[in-house]
Amino acid sequence: MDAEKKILLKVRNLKQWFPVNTMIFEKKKYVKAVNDVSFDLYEGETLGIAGESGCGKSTLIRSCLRLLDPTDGSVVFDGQEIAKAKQKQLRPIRKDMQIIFQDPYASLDGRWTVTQLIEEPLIVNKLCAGKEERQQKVRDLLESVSISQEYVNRYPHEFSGGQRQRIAIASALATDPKLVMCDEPVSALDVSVRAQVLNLLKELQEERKLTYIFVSHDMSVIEYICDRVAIMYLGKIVEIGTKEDIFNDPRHPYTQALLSAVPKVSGEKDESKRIILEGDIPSPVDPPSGCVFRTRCKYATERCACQEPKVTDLGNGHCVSCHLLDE
Amino acid sequence: MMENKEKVLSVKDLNLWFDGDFSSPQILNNVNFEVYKGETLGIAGESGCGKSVTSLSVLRLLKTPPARIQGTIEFQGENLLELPMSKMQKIRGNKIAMIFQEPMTSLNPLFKVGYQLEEVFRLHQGLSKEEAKKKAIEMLDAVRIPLPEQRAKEFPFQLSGGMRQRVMIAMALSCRPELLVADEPTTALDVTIQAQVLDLMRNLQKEFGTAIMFITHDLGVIREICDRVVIMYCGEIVETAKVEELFANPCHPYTNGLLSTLPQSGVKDRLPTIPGMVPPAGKFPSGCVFSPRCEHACEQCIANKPELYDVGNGHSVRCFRYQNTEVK
Amino acid sequence: MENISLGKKIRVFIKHNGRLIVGATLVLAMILMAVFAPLLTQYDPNATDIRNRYQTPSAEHIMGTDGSGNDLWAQVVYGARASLLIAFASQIATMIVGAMLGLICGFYPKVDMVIMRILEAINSLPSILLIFVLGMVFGNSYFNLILTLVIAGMGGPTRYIRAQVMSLRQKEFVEREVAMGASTPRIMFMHVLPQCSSYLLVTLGSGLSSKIMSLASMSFLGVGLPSGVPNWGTLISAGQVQLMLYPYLVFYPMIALAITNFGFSMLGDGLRDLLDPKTH
Repeated sequence: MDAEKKILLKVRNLKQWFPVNTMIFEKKKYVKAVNDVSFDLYEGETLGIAGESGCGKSTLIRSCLRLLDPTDGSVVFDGQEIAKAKQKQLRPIRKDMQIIFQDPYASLDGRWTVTQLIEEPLIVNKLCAGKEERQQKVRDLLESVSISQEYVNRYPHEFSGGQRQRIAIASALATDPKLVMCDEPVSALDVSVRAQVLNLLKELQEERKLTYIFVSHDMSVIEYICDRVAIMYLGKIVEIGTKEDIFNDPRHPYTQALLSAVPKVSGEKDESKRIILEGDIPSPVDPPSGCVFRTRCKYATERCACQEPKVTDLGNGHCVSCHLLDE
Repeated sequence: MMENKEKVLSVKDLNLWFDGDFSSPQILNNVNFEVYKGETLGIAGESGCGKSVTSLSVLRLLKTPPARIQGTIEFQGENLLELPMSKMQKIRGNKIAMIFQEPMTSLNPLFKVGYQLEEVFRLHQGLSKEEAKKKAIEMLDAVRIPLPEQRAKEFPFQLSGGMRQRVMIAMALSCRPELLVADEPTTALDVTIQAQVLDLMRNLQKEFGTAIMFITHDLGVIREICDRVVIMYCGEIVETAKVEELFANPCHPYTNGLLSTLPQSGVKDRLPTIPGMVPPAGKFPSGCVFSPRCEHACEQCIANKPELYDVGNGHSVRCFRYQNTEVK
Repeated sequence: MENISLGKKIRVFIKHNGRLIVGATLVLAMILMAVFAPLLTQYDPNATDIRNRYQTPSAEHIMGTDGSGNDLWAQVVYGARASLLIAFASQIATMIVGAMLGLICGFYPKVDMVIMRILEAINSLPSILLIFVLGMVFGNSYFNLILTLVIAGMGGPTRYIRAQVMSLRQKEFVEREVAMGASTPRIMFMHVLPQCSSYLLVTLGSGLSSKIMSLASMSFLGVGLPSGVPNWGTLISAGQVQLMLYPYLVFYPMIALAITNFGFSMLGDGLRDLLDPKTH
């Protein structure tokens, strides 16, 4: 990784725990949705966060955006510490970091027209002087996501899923953010529309020099759109590295299994090479001691049960948390 | 080569409408396919293409009205569409079983999973309580659930998604059905769990010899598990072939488009896209259903509906470009 | 879809919304009766006419007269005025108060603790007892009656709106607003409240009918409207003394009460069917 690249978002030891209802005399329990996560995000890149449901990937970006109040740790965005900042102090920063959600049906208020939806961030952040300027901006944004101008007064339910996601993207870009967090933006879309939205996200990144954090469970989408990838399992990043490192040379046993489990439409179909993991993902309330993956790992030893693996840097920013690698 | 295989299910000229107050859009248009003994037939397509409706009409789980069904669905020499409901109920769950996308909604949350499994044996096979219990635990073991005796005593919410889907499969297979209809059974599951369930279904099929109708939108899954595949678009079958054949040589522009829009390993360029979007029910184009989005569309495609042309090796395509290469 | 005749559209609307039409017709009839009361009867509801006491229904007095010789029809017609006015005013005030409290409770957990405890205290009393006590404490002017009914009735809407706010706050479109930097009041009034509007509209019907009943009960128990203001509760209360001899004195106001109640309930159900997407 180029050392001179500017770090836009620096996350250190971030923890996001949610209390679980327990009996009065029981020890207090937490769902450790994000447990001690650290990573850097460089300006202009796309960082993919991949993992299965319940691994904490969506929680992670919500903590970074301060939609949640992190339990512990630090999040530095563009030089400012935001993990402990008050909501009022956050408001001026918010226009620089936006989010696109998975389900465009749920993320757009169905009672608002397209214009109102896209204007909203401009009004909230007082970014345009007059109505004229605002309307012009809305038209420009719609054009950049290829939605026809004649639809400005329609409501979200009159659009298809792909179009709605485009509107959500236009609205997220209205404030000219530096960082856009994409939470499974194409998972709810049909296959034939998915490619259109992925292309659009890539084009917009080039045009506007955007930085993306792209959360997805779909490894093929991650591979297509990301520059670097972080693999999460039970609230921890188990492996992070460039796309090439992760997909061509995965080192963590979980990454290897995850990649081999993805059904592919091309390439050789070799069933003998497939790694099928045993068992289920443990509950995040009671994660296994030591290495979180050890209950499903075929290489697990006694050491994995009692000691938490350290992060091993294999060079070029490729970091893995596994005992196999520091021997 | 297929002739010597025994047909389990054959669907002929299946047409389906939903009668509303103002219109009755046609949801399925002349759907024809067969499922042979011991094979897995995949039905693939995007949302709204009619794949789920097809599976529901095979089991006659659609409410009529508003649904209006024409055609024949032949199963073991009988037309399922003409059977009285009482007979249909005996076939359902016994000879044709179904598993759904979300197992939580198909399991009763108030009963233990073991009890729900026992019920199937007692209802369809008339076993006594003890026998049923023994069978239920055997079945849980067969779907590779660890500690089946203990799991049988648990409630559905205590099991994980993958475990619940295993219980559903156990339930579906408990009466050794001739045909298993699986409607997106792995869509709600994570990839590593999906790999487990697909592996299980493959092994169970070898053991039990059940024919499977596997409905999914995921072409990768189709390639993993199916022998033959039917691609649907706008309520019509646009292409059908053996799986290796389809992925090696996709003929219909829609299939081609679908496959090329999927991001492939190592590709960095702009993804090819299919222009436009899937038309909503009731607004299906009159000629070739894919013509408005097709780069090869000509006047003929807009005016007339193409047939399914057989291009050999069990591969048929509904596209005029293959009219002349048809093998009679 | 476009070339469907208007006639067919209307027929389908009637087929699906029978309750709404029946309810709206009845309610509208009652409102018209209250507004045009002087045109419907030549008698003054409070004009005592001792010579014509306890007249049975006849052409001259279609519902008969009571112990003071007042025309019952005139009293029923004028009674609609007070009953409907207070019912509408108190129901609308209840909904406004409930919506505000619900929004505040949903967004500010600390205030929520306090307000919810107060509401629990209020609702731990049986509602009729509560209304009776409040009615006695506040006295019986129009404003105080409305206040009583609002305090007694605000628990339901507050709790519902609060629950809605709690679940809506998890929704992505609200998260999106927070992420965009919108202030809490903006989110409350521009995004969350409109989502609750269909609930408020739907409960209008059932709320109005319960208010009409509460008011009638209060008047029946003597803590309702001041004497001299004709209303159905007082009429029933006065009539029940002579129930064995002159049952029509109770019968007619009861009919008016029942029709109004039925109309409001039907209107509420009809609105729910019309607005709830699940029933389509």
